Amino acid sequence: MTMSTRPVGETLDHPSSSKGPGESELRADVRAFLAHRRDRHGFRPHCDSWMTSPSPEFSRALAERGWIGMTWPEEYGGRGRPERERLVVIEELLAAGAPVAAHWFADRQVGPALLKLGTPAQRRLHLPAIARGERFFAIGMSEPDTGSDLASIRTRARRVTGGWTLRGTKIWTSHAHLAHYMIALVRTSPPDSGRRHEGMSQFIVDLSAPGVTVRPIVTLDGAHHFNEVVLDDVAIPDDGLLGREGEGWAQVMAELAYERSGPERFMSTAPLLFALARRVGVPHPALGELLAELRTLRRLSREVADSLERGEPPSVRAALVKDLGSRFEGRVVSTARALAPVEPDAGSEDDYTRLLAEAVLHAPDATLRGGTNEILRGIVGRELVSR
Amino acid sequence: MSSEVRIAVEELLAEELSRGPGGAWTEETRHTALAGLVAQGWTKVGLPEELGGEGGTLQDACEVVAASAALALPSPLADVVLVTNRLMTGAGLPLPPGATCVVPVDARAARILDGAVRFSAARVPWARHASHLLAVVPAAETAYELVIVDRADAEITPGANLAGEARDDVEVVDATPLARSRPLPWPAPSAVGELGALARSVQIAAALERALELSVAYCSQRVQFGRPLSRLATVQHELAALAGEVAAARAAVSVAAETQSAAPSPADLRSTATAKIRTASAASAGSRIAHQLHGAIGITQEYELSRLTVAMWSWREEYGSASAWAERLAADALAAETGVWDWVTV
Repeated sequence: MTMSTRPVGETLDHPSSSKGPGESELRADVRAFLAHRRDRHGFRPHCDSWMTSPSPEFSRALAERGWIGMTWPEEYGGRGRPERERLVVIEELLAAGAPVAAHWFADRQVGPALLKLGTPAQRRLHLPAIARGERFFAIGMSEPDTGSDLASIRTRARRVTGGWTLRGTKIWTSHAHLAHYMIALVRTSPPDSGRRHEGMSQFIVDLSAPGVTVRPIVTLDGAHHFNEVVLDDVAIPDDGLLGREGEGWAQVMAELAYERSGPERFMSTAPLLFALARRVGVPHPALGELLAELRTLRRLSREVADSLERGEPPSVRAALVKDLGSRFEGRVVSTARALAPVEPDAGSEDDYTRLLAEAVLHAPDATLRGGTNEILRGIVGRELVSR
Repeated sequence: MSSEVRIAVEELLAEELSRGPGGAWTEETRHTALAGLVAQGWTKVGLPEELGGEGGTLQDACEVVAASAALALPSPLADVVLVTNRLMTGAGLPLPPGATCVVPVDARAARILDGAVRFSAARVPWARHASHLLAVVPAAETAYELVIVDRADAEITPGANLAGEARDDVEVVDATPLARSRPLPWPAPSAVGELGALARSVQIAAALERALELSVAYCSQRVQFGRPLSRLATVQHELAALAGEVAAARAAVSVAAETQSAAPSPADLRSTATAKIRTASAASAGSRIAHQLHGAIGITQEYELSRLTVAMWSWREEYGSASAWAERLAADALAAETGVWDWVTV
């Protein structure tokens, strides 16, 4: 590691609340980058920017700084940095409401999945391109008849000579219209009522392949980030299988720990919180309570990052943090409405008024995406009573 | 080391507890438990050996307090270990001879004149059970000293919190201090309340964790509609929500315990406020869930849960309510020139 100036072992054993060496400098670097982007390119902060604000150009600029795929090995275009440093970078991006949606899913979960399950050829094909901010991925899990009950998916992969043929429909696929590839969970053998979690597999689908149709789904705020992705006998070569045939369920559950555990699960309304603090200006207890919760969630999130660093996907802890975090995001909105009531207006020149509108309109999604809070509580609750 | 501390204290307390009827503390077992803690030196954890203490880190002190809170032992342990010992460590004041239980007093209008100290305070934890009382007294414009007086020199009006823990009004008039620190810029008079807030936070986090254990065990054993309650999805969801409150309370306390040392810093105020605010709200939300899951048995005096929840309902207000601390925390954040997010991350 040519970048490292630290003695070996210094990051191995420090209390989980303390900062790792160099974290403050990294944080300052990211802030300087964001300030530069604001001045030169004029981005405005958005709530939920990791879902709703894609900018391929911003993603490439971020990649140039080494901040996409930064924990991945250097041989695959990563920077070999610790999870804690990635946490610093993504916290700063979310706090600023930066347009990070284009690369978000590839950086968050596709990269780790490829590193864990991918063949060397698959890693070489995708990871460096992702880390350059040039290749975006979508995640194909839900289907028209499959929401919380993910095991009920019906998209099928049929074995053919030299590969597979995929047929079915994925839905709520964020940014499939911008993405180059999609990781799809599909059935490779028919459902068996007794063993419904078996017989599923993950495939890497080229979204430019013949037979793929991406149709927009407009959300209640008039925005387009969701899509329906129809797979009409899409040919997938042999090396399009990710991981092992039939192991799709376990692979996806491990991937969901990454999907659920990040700071985007409690910082989606952070830009509104900061605008609220500026607007209120006086130390109202309700503001203090939100700040205490934000500080607490950051600690929990660091504990999750430490688990990932140790190679332990924290499925239950991730579910718990997402449940707490998404409820906190909702409380930011209700507190803002109570302390600084304005008529929300997504077109307003005033940042607070605009951010409140965005947060209000996105509020229902916060407790749905990545697993509803009811599903999350089920995961935690079952773990508690099975001990 | 910390978990060893906790196990040792738990063993001592569990043995005393088992001698009483129905697993509840009696006046007698409570006294013998406290005497055992004193005899084994647990009340001196966090105070360096050169000051007459047993040494140990703040984390160790937190573990001692957590062990006693999880077993709902009504005792001055938290106040002594996490307030008195930290104040004395900060001021370098040694324990006077014969001081077995020095209770901190969040004193108003304290002063020392011609070698005589006077102060008064309302709802002082465990004052009538103390051997000595400790107060912060202004020594000069911006300097303070710690003074220790004999409890016998105080006029005490007994009171109690919801859990029956002594909360006494104290009046000390021209007593001769048995020990005085040299004048220092810290601890200021507010230090008692600040350290006390962390002490109560540690207690709440531990008590709530025990309430979760009880709830899981109860729901796994209690059969209704022909199956254990724990098989019902709604029950599992409530258990998960309770586990979330426990995790958040523990996280907030961990940050404070790891950030703080004997020497005060601005980070102490932030982490103390965060801990008290979050544990107070966890106490409220968590105890509501635990009682709902337990049904009527939970609201009896005989069952363990109520001893934890009733104490939490007092602890959440003691040494400053969540609302008071939240106002302080908000004021601190808004005063940060570099903005709220920078304040969050430093």
